Amino acid sequence: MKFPYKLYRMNKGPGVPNGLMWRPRIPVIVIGPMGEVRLEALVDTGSDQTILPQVNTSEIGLKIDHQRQALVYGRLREHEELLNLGRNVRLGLQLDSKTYVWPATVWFSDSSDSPAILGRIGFLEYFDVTFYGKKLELEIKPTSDFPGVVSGLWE
Amino acid sequence: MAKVKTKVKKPFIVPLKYAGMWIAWSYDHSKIVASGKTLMEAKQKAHKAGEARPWLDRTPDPDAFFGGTSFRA
Repeated sequence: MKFPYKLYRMNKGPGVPNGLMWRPRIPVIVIGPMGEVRLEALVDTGSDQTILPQVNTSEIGLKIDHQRQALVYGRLREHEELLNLGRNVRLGLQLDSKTYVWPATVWFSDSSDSPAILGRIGFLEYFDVTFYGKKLELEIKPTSDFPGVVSGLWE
Repeated sequence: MAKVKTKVKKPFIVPLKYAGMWIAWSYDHSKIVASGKTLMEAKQKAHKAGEARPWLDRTPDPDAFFGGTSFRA
């Protein structure tokens, strides 16, 4: 399935003379035993890990492994960011009238300012992704050994 | 021969006023239904606006270019 890049207005800058920035962001569902959160997430081939913003994990029944934390410097303005490893996290993606759900290794930021990033671990290891620079869209297909569950469209 | 006009769907542009904020898209991604300084604020406003299943999106700051960094776990 193809997803068009999303278009954001920003201040004009180097490479952005018209103040318009295209970003390959796709809708992804963070699923816990008690609920879900729907996020727009950047597909980032340069990111080793999948990192999500601070969400109310207890509200959707997700657990956090507080023994596995990581400090990040420089991603957020004037902020030292702490990442917590999520447990029992599943992610969902709706492709071509089907919903793909898979267990994923995911880090949660301690800040809600953190962008949602889909990296290799937790996302790109399970999907073949092609970026079309001219068309400003990306195509996503599950790999042949996709480990998750495929069902009908999840309303 | 008459020219055939083809409609090209214009992309939705997230306005500058939302830069650096959380926005909530409608379920069909056709419009922004709410915004807030935090994810929770945008989510709650979207629910109040009648959107039960919003997609939440943290828009980058207006002068921020996204790049990578590293962390040690």
